[in-house]
Amino acid sequence: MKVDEAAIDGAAAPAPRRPVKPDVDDAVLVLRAQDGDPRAFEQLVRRYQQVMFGVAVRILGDRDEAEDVTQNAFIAAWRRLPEFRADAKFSTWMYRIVTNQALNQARGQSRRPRPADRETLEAASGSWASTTVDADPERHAQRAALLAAVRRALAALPDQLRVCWLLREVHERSYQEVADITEVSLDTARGRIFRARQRLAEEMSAWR
Amino acid sequence: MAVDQVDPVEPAPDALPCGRDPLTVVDDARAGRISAHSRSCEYCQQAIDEDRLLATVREIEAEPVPAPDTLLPRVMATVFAELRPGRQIALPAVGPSASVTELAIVSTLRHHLDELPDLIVHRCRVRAGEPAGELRPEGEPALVVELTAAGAYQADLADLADQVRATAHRVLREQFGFDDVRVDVEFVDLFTLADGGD
Amino acid sequence: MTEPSAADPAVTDDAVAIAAAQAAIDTPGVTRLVPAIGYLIRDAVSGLARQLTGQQLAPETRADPDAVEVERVDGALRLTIRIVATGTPPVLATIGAVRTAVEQALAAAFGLTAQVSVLVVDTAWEPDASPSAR
Repeated sequence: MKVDEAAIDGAAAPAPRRPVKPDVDDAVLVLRAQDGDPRAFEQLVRRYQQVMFGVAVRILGDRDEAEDVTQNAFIAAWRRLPEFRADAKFSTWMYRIVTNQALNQARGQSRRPRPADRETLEAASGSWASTTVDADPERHAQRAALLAAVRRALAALPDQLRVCWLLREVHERSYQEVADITEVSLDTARGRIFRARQRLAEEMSAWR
Repeated sequence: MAVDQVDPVEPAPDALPCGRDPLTVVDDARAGRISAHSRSCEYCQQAIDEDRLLATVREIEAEPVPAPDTLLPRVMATVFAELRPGRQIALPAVGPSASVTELAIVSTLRHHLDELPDLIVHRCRVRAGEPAGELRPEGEPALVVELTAAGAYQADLADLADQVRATAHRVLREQFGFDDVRVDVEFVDLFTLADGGD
Repeated sequence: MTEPSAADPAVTDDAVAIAAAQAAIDTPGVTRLVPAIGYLIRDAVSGLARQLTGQQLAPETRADPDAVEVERVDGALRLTIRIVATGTPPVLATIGAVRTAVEQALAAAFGLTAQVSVLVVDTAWEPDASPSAR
């Protein structure tokens, strides 16, 4: 039993801890949203907007496009909720919608793979792209060069490989989930992840 | 979920020359599990070394990119404009010049039932009761509420069901003037109350 | 919808809707109005607005006349207003208040009497749940 600090301070006797209901899980929020409750859907958006935006921005390399795609994906989810099987996982379903929309967006513009623009790069890479110069400018320059190399290596991957890699390595989805999200067989998903790793390792071999 | 056709361009990852699956070898190594075989196998070691190179790549890509503040309001603006409010139900006290949707009633019920500490509401549906007819000679009440819920493990579910019904009846009468109501409660799950904060 | 009726040449349906919407949104217990075909308009507007401003979504019109359906039947004016109620005061009371407010507004502005129906589309238990208020 935790010691209540107020009691130590000699304040009034601590009030008994009131038991609280656990946070409502995704499945219940989905049921409520399917009943038409927009506030339940809002809670789902709050839970997943960061993750889903993260997928879109890594696929597209552009914050504004990623915001549009993520926004459209959530709206599509709201519209398709009546057909969502409540015993499936909402997160997997959302990942699938966002990934499909982001890939369609990426293909639709006949994009060449390109390194992410500077603004996205700085926003995305936190401490890695810090513009404050290290005490050791050489180390800073090295880190910036490494970052650029990583950017190029990822951009050079075909979309399908990059997406599977992203879902597995960054979002830590199981191989089966990656297959479910990208709508391919388990073997194909594993194969894509394997080849993505191989190609990235080749690209990064200069940094050994 | 579409099952991929057999795709000659995308085979499953070949086994390493030593026969092991490269994904499994790497996954195990990351988890700190290196088998006796992998320790001494040049192919496994190469796979593990290559993967260490990529740890930095994973770190960089895992850095969160903050979602813009505008994302949520934009989504919700569309959601609120595309409500699916269900059927309209006339209010008995007022007649045809006042109606509420099924959604309005459900939102009201949820709000009040959420205040019960031992209850988490799952589905909540309302409908106008069926009038007396061949299949139902007595007819149903004017309003029928059907809800499923989870109850606290420590609670007496029969008591809790009574609380739910009493709350629902009170709220429906106070808010909408519904007097002729049946409330069906089904418990589909249990939950444990956590130790509270202050 | 914008044709003035023969009996009231000066008062268009749009003017009636605007006055009714304002009276409704100003009634305590009403948090917002719900347009009937709003989603079609909103998608177009939000996309365009974003392009133009690059910033915030165009603010929702609170006193949205699209939430008011105006019919003229045998010379009589019939309105249906779609609202989201807060529950405080109780919805039943809010409905009555909206009807009274709209009837009074139309009488004061145009000398018109109307049959006012209210449809409560949803209830929201925060003080002002509309996204534009966040």
